[in-house]
Amino acid sequence: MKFFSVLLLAVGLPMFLAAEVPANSKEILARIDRQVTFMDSDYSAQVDIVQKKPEEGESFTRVALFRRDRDSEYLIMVLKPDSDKGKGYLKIGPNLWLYDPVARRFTVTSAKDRFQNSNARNSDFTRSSLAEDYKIVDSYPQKLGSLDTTVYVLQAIHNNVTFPRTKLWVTPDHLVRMSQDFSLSGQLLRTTAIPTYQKVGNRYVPYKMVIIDQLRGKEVNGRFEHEMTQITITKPSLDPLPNIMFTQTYLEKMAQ
Amino acid sequence: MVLSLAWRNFFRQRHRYRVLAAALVLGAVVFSLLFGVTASLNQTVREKAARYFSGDVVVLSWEPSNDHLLKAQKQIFAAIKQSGIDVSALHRRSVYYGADAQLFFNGSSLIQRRVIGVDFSVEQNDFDRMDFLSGTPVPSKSREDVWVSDDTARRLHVKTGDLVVLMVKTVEGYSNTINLKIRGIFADSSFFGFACYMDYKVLNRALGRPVDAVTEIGATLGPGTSQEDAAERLWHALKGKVPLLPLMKTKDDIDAFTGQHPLKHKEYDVLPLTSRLKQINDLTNGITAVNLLLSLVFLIVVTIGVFNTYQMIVFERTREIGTMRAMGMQRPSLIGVFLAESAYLGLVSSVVGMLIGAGVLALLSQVTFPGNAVVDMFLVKGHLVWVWPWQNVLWVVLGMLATGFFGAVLPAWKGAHQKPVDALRHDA
Repeated sequence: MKFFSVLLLAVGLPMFLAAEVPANSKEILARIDRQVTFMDSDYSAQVDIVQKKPEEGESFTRVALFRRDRDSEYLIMVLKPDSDKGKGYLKIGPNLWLYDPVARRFTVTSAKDRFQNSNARNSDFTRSSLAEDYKIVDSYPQKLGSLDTTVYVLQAIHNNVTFPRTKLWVTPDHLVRMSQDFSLSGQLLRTTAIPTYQKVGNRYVPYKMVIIDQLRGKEVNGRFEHEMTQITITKPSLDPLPNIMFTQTYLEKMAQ
Repeated sequence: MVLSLAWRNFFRQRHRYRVLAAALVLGAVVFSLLFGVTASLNQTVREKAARYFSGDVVVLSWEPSNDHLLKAQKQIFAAIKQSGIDVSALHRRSVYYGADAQLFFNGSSLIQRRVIGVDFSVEQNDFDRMDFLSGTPVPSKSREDVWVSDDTARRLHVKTGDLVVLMVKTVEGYSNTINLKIRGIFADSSFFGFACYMDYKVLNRALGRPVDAVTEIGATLGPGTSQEDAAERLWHALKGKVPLLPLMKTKDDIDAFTGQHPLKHKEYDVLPLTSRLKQINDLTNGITAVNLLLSLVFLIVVTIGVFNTYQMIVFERTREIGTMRAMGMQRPSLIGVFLAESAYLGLVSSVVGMLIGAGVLALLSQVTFPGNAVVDMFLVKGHLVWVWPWQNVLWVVLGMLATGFFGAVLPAWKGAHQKPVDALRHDA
């Protein structure tokens, strides 16, 4: 009897603790980050962004994304539409610069800002840094469609993030399949679904992402339709990128 | 002697002056209307700006960490009292001026340039005077209310009683939202940018500020009190009690000063309304300039009319001039008699004209003008405000005296320089 009690305690207690508040929340988040981060190589891709506004139609933006995750640097260059062509976001050092090719001027912007008036944030295109930005305050298993997921409830640990509270639905392969972003008061602001991933090297990149703005939208035929952003990532590559790409000079030159 | 003779002539020759008096009375009416409307427009714009910017004189604070909370509230209120400035309303507010404040309703959103948290225990009376189109200025029990401009209401398609979401950034930089009920909709041109009002404690909670914190304490001044003068007096009353920036006239001066002398700790600042928004000064100066131009044109037209009529009057009174000269009156005295007569005429016309003008203004203030974004800025509840500052009396009297003088001086000079013998022989 005593043996069974000890066994139950030995097996059951860790399981109970894991189900309540994960003991190693940093490690869990670091594992999720690692799956979509390229620390050993550069990464580039083409990103198509379709912004859908109810009764206002769609707008299309295509950008080229270049990332050097080990140095936390990235460059995003707008390729389409023509009116925004040459516009670019460059993260070097602590600053995120926005380049306007018409004014030929760089201004400091924030990763928290909306990207090109879509529902995506600048931070959605950068290296995942969940372990540095959040801690897990709760977790529980939940079925997401046909997928078995664990829901992690995250709380920001500093203010350099867009959303103070976030919920992640993570599959056993440590890939985020859905996330919900909340305001400090707990209002749902944004839902992001990532139904499919593509493997690049030994890491993963989302193939399609759908971001639903929970506050913006319009009532159409008696039904509320949310503003929505669909992101498709194609042509992912791990080829090395020249150092000059992550400079203001390069962005200026490319915009000419 | 000249003045009494002129008064006797003016009274006896009143039938000759009827046409001239009518012209000058008309001039005084137009002058009164021009100056009255200008004063009304300027006062309304300033009043609205004062409400938007927490009064005619405001105490703010600056700190390297961008914490704008006023910690020395007691000292500031004591200084306002001690300065002896004429205060008609006090303002105690917690203001959020991040460019990212947004109101959401039914999927639509609108950026609010200023979210103003009001301490209703201090400024309920002034808040009541706002131009409400619907709803009530009195907060509900829960205090989770918001008052929005008609422009905001139109763009968001909200009405009183609707539930909206306000999104702001907390002091830590996190996005935060709060559900608020539209408690009232006020008329506002949004000239100074979209603004909404709410209870300051509710706003502080959403921002993560201490619940009783405020960022602006201000005073709306009584009529006729100079903002610059009041700011100077308040600055002197605060000096030595709190760390204070030098008194500066414009916001640009402050920016230049803080650029040259970076702040090391919290510094307080006293600002007159005129220094906070260049547009207000440009606008009121523009209105005054247009008024002065119109007045000048009108003055010239009336002066020409007075000149022609005076020539006729002097011509008709040539024999009288001859008699006075023959009796030994010198030319300057004779000119003085005519000019004094014109001054009496100007004074009487001014009084009559001002009475009529003030009456017409009072009637105009009863008219409801159709509102739009531009017009609303100058009106209160669609009406012109009837104001009659003492400067108006001065301008109208001076204007009519000047018209009479310039119209009379040349005919009087010509009349006085006739030979007495020729004048006596004159047959009108």
